[in-house]
Amino acid sequence: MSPDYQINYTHSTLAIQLRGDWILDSEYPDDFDDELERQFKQNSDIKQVTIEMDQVTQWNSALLTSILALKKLCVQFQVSLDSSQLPDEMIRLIALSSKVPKRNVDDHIVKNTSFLHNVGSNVITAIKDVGDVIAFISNAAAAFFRMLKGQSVYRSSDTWLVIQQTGAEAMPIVSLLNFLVGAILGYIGAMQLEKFGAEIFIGDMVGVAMTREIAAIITAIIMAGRSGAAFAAQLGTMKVNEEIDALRSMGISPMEFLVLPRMIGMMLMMPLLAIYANFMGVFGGALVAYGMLNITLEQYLSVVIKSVTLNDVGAGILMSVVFGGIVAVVGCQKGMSCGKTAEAVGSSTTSAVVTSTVIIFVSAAILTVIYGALGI
Amino acid sequence: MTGESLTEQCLSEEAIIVENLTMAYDEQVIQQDLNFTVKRNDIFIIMGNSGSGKSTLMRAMTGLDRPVAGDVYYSCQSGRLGYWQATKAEQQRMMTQYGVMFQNGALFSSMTLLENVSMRLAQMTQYSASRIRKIATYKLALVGLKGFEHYYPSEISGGMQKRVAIARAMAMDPPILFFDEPSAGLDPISSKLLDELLLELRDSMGITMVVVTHELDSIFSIANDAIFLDHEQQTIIARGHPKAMLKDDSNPYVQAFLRRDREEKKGYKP
Repeated sequence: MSPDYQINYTHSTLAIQLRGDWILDSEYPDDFDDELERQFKQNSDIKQVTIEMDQVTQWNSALLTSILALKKLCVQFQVSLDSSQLPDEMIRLIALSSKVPKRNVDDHIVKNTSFLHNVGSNVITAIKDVGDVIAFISNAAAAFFRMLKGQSVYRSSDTWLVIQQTGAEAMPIVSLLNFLVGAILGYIGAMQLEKFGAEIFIGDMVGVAMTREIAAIITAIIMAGRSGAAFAAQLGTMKVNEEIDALRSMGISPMEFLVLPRMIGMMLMMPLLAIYANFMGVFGGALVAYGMLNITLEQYLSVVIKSVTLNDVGAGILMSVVFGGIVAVVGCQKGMSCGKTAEAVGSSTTSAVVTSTVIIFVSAAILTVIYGALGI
Repeated sequence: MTGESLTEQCLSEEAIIVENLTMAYDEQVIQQDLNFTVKRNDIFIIMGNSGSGKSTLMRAMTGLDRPVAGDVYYSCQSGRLGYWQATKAEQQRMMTQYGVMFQNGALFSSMTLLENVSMRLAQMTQYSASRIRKIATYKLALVGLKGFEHYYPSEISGGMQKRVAIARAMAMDPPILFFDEPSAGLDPISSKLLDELLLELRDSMGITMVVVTHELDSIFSIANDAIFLDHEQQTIIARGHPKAMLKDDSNPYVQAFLRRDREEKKGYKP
């Protein structure tokens, strides 16, 4: 039987009669609470409220919330509630839920959500973040110099593990993406160069573009998404589990023990991966040159060797070292500044990837301008 | 008696029946041939030393880890249909029979306390949003957290987080509640308050409780019935009220455990 109620008002008494199965969630009469409130407002001379539950077959917490609302109304309008006909269990539960007085929650900070407040707080957070990154870099540099002096506490095995994870294990994805980028560059170049009968210069174009910038950028993006995110997630989870606090309590600097191996590993591996990526990109171009333009591998490579100078290779390697530093610093910094919740770990990881990617492109643009100005 | 609460619908004396349950991780058997029943309205303790498989047993009883053999029967809901023989839909229905409180609370950090308690109601019932909010507020009040509805788990203490976890487990008015080490990490006063809360909830709501713990103070103050799991024999080595176990000379190891007595732990290999 569906839950049902009847409210009668006679001789200053509000008589409430409940019937049916009050655990049926889909049929719960949500207007019951509103009707009670309406009766109290409409009949200002109510002196007593009675409730009958004889015909209620089953009830649960939902009905209790309505009875609690009724109790609150009785207190508000100073009306006596005759609860003698309520089930004993219900009376006990009402008593239990009313046992602890409502806490003073004024000290709970209510967030100001106005536009100006949001702009201001975001600017302050951004300035603070920049300060944190600068402090982090200087701490990392200090840890690096302590390591050079043999004063730092870290495990060399951790560095080798990072080298394996960021170097050897990244090779398949670095190979694939740089090969494809080389092929795409070659394909676009082939279509344009064919118009001028200058097909042979495809080697020139792919070789110089890959070695000077593209291989370093593509590799850095891969490393930001792969290893930078992993650094942020690893360190963030360690922070949540209080492992970083445990290191501090042992007098071990997390900067030396955790961050240094990751930074060294990443900065060593990034240029090596970039050099490897140069070859993969050039081979990608070779495939297109052979497939579309009938240029033999020998002809293609001879053009590449003639056109690519040591300056080009050096510029690419320098760029990759800078990118390696960016990915490592951002990934570790985001991990170390992570909050203590699962959500914070996710945010740190996302932020690590996004921030690294943006900084990589900005610094690539700056380095390109500098190389141009220096005539490299 | 004017009405019958949800927890009183079932007239069967047993709330849970565990039959021939064997749990293992890969090839390693943890516990085997476990047979016991949990009576309605009892606070049933699963105790034993560390690594004896207490939590593993609870995970098998709550549908989290499939046992190698045997089954668990929720007698009020399923009659003689075992949880692990049931279809997904039947298992889903049986799950409404119980709530689980995990060791560290396992609250969702991105949600407020109110949202944590409301979540299951919102997903599993057809109550209106305002009714769900009222029920969740009431559940938080039941565990003494009135006024904390809009706090996040990170803003409250460990003891309060455990109370929220209890409120969340009770959200659907289940007749059975499981607790994994509810007092772990709490100070003695918070631990005692939590025990008192469990007793009050059992008495006022008639909830059957299965508690995994090795906190002796809790065991003696709340238990109606208990089993003792042994990691060497891989089965139950004692059954009954903990005070009766304490007097039973036939099992000196269990006596030593309950007395925290090093001298009597003959053959004990920690």
